Amino acid sequence: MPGFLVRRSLTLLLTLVAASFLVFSITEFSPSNVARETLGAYALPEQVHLLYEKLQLGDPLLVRYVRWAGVLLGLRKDPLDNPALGLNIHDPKGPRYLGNFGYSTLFRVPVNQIIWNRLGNTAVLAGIAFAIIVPLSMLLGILAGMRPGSFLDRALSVASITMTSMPEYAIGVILAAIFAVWLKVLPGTSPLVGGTGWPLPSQFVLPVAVLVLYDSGYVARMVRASMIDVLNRPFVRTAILKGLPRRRVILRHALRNAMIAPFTVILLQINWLIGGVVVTETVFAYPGFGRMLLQASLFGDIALIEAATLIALVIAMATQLLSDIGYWLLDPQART
Amino acid sequence: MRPTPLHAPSDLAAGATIGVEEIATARPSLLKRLPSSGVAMTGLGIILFWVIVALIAPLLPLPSPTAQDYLAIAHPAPGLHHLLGVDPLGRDTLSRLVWGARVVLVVAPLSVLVAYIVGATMGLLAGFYPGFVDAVISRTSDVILAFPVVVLYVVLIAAVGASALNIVVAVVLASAPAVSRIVRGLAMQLARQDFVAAAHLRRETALFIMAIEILPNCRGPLITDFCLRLGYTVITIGTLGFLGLGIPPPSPDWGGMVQQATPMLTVFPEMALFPVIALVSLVLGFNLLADGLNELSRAD
Amino acid sequence: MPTDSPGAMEGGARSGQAAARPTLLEIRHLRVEYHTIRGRMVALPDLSLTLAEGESFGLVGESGCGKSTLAMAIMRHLGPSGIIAGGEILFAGQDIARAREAELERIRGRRISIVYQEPASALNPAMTIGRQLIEVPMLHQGMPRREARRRAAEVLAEVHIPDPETFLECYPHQLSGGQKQRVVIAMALLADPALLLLDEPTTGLDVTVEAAVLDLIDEIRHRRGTALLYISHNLGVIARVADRVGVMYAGELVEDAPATSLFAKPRHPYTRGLMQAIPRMGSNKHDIALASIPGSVPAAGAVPRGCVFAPRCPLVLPGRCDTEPIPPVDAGPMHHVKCLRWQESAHPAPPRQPRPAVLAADGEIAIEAGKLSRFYHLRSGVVRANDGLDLVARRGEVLAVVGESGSGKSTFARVLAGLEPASEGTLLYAGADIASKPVHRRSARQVAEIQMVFQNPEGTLNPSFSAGWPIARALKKLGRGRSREIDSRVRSLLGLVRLPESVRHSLPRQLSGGQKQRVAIARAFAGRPEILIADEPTSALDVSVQAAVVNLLLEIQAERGTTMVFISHDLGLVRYIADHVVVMYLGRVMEVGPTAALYAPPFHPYTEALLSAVPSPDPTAASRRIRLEGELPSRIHPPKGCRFATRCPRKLGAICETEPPPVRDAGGGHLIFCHIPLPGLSAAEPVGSEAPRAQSTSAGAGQS
Repeated sequence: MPGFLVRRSLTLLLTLVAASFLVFSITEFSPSNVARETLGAYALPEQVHLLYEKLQLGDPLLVRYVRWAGVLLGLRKDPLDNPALGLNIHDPKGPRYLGNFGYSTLFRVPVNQIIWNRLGNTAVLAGIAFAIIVPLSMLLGILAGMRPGSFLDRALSVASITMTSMPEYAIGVILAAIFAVWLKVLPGTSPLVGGTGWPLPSQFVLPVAVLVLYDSGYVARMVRASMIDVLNRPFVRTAILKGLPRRRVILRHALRNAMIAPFTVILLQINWLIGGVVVTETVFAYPGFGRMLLQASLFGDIALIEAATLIALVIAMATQLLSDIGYWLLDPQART
Repeated sequence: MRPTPLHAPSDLAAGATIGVEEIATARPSLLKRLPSSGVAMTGLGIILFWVIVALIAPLLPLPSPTAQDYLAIAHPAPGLHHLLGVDPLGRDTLSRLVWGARVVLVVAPLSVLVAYIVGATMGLLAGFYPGFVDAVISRTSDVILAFPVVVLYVVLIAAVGASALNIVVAVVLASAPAVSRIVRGLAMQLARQDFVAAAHLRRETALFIMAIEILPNCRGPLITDFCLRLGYTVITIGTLGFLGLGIPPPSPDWGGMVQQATPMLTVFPEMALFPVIALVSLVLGFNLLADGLNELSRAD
Repeated sequence: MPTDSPGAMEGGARSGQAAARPTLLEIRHLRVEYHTIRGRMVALPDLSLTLAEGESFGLVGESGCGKSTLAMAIMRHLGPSGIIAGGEILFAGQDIARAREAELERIRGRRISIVYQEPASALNPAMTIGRQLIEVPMLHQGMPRREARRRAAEVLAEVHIPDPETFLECYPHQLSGGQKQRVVIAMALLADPALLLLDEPTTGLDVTVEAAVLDLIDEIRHRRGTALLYISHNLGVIARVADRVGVMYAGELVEDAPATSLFAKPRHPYTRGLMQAIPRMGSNKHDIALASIPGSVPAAGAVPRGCVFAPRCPLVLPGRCDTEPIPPVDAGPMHHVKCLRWQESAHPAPPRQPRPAVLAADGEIAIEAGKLSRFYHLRSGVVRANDGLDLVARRGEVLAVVGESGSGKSTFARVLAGLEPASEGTLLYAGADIASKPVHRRSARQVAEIQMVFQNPEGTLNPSFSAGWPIARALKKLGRGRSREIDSRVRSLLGLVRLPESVRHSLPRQLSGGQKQRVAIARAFAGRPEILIADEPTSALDVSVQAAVVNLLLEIQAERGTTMVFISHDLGLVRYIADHVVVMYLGRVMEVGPTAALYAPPFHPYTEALLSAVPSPDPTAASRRIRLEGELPSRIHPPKGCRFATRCPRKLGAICETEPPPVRDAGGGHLIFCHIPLPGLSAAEPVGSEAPRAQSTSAGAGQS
């Protein structure tokens, strides 16, 4: 492993710590709020005050952050997981273990019991979408980039600018109106449970379509731009003037270089998809990670918000690292 | 805005390929040559349509956007009294669209403008002072750019509460680092140009060099990015509204209108479609303008 | 266009020595157009040319004259907008202009190969050298992979790449510029083509590297009998490689002749202008002013009727030259020229005013650098860009600093100007040490008095502001004019650099490269500088424009008694312009002395190599060939003793590698930093065009 990747990992880790502190500051900036949200809407001011004292919420933000991180890393007990508080919060795995995200006040279970299941659902949704987006947009982008100005190129350009002008919920509403309301061939919601009269696979069609439509145009445009750029580079001219047939010029010389820039773009789509699923899942009532995050945010479920954001960050960081490694593999200049 | 890949030039993420030469030849007459681009003019036309609609909203013979017509709730479909129908609370859809344009056309440009002021300042400083200043600004930006952007918005707005001001603050927080990254890249290239060295040799201050020598030459790529970002901010505001985190009711908000109409989708799909069309057309206007400007700047 | 021109052109070509060889390439009435959204531009209106087998044809002209378009037309690779609108390109009897794509693929790389400028971008960055090379024989000769690989290694050896086997596994970015160009040449040679097109293959390379590449091209040509079409803007290079030379201007071949005849008796006013614009080795500013050609090359599409050169021609006959296209006429054996007054233009140009030596040689020191150093701290180590420079510039003189890339000459310029602080050492100006004082810590007077003109005209002016703006701004900030006067001062400064007043309101993109450099000079003189640093101010300009800018600089400098520090890699120009010269290599001074002394023995071995590498625009001048071996050492781990030890052809032995060289005083301020004692250094023969037919033996052979 080259030094630069080690450095990069360390930087990303530091960024992660800083970002988690930012999340912590946003959600727990106002300590009295923390106590109130934990107790729920009907708590009396005395109860709030008592919890405030017990949790030492009057301490500086940084101190509270370190405490919070201690719980997460399994170095401290979760202060809420204490029968004496009378909050009825109890984690079957015990109050202290590595990866303790705390207790969800919205779902009334430990965060770990809800979050991984939802993440799994989202992974399925995003995974299918990603598996379609990447080959589709690469193919379209390469074909359009090979002949700028051709019919395909113009069509792609119009389609992609239109699709990137549409928010996910707009696409969702339009698709649902057409396929669920008008044609009645697909379900308008995807709760992933039987009994709706729609087979499970059919429930994926519209959410996946929304993600694919919203993303493919953008990625295809990136690939196209990169392809055009590479085809104009002098080494492609060298290859042509060597007498290589056009097919070979494109396959052997242009493609690999054309993939270097979009590669990072494509991987960063994973990051982008995390945001996209929040909206898409909400449109289709899909029981995923994004919708859960939204519910938690609207409800004020601090532990769940922090946990979900942290996981989203870790995924984002992992993709960044992955894109660095891929870049390193694709581009020999990065290797020296 | 889309996340900017680390290795790809930042402009690639904005759908453009911008080289040093283009920065150097950025023409002041770009706006004058705008009419030669059909794409840009189409975009501008759509934007102007909405601007005019927003401006003359009080003059239009429309019911108040918050007035509830209880009689119409039972028959919300478009008709003579309500040209585009009413929403589930009996409020006139057309009026809400028109007044909603006012909201979005104030909040979006305002947030992007402030994001640009903050981001451009950060980017100029980072690009002009390599080393410590750059490291601090860039690392801070990295932290914010690490977030999936919708997640950041949701968490932020949910924590501070939904209001027009908070939306502006959230957009600035999320966009300024991205603007900063673009400006930093441009500023670093420009700071190495000889005309900047020449400015040093006549004892210009750092502020003068950043603001007068460097910043104006960033305008080509920045104008395009500004338009794209406006479009994306309109999407963001709509998305927040749709998620229930937008400008609080009863203010007319396009995203919120879609949200309120979604449960009625099976019965009255047009109730959701009208605000969707309004929003998409405005975003399309900004994106077409950006695309046209980009084509123009590359045609040099 | 003339209808009978090919007869005239070819008639000559078939006679004489070329008649002995069969014709390989015959271009007849070639017309190339570019169709773009802005309309149709004619790049080559009507061009005819023949090339015999094994012949070397040099094509010379300034940028924008259509040289590269011609090369790409021969390859039939003009891009989506380029169209061959007429004429024929007969290559071995086959018309390339009408060949089908499949036929072209059999010609390209197999029968005709091309090498062009910027080898760095010509190679695929994501493929090893080996994979890029073996494609050629596998494709064209159907060789199996293993054999193709062996062949690739052989050809790499032929272009003098050490250790070809290892080389095959390298990626392009791991090689130096010279090595890359050798690889590109090897690639072009793999299928043993009959014709090799070389489009500025050495432009952008250092002069010593260029010399080695030119040697290689020479060697290949004589070994393989490949015909060459060599394109360059550099007359010296063309004189070195070509049997026959064509001069191109605005898409037309205005003159073509055997090299000896062309260089001895140039007939076309443009050819003559080009030759007089470059300083000949041996001339200097006190003897003669450089001749510049007024105006600039017309843009494609704005080519004048009649003679294309008429608007810039000193001999133009209104009513005659600007009405009808000029047909080529025979001006000697195989010598064709498109000029009505070629016989008159053969007369020498009116004598130019010698520039009086106004230099106040009072020896007063203007600036003095003592152990001046500038280090860059990188992650991988410390680059000692300037490492202990000792030098002196005297008031009113031109001090030239020469060296190749990586020598640190531009770093020195930037430290002197205050754009970067020195890391160590002293820099005395007017009694103050300004070494570690960048501009913002210098006094207003110090800043105003040390000004600079930069290399690249494209970056020297802020594209957002008019040309007058930086001049006015400089006057104001440097306190050289009250605000009322600024307006008139700007005008007088523009007048000083011979620019019309209207330029003041022009934006940089509306100005030519030469005009931009003039504005930059005006800006620099706004501060009434005592010291003017000129960092390669003309290297990006065409030769005809370069001459005008050099004349202007010298004139103002002499008139105002300014001390000029002139940074350059062009030894011919330096010899013309400088009073004293400093030769730098890898951050250190190798040799310093008065110009005349420096260009004659005793030489530092590096100076000697540099001088012998300069191609002279005189095909009859025999030059001794001293070629540097190996690559420029790492700037982070330079050689410990003498910096030049690793490549020195006259290295004495271990002492050169371990001990810093002592200074050898040749008298009159001529200092040489070398372990070889003075008598040994003096034993070198003179190099350059003055060399009276010196033998090509290495002067160092007897020493080591």
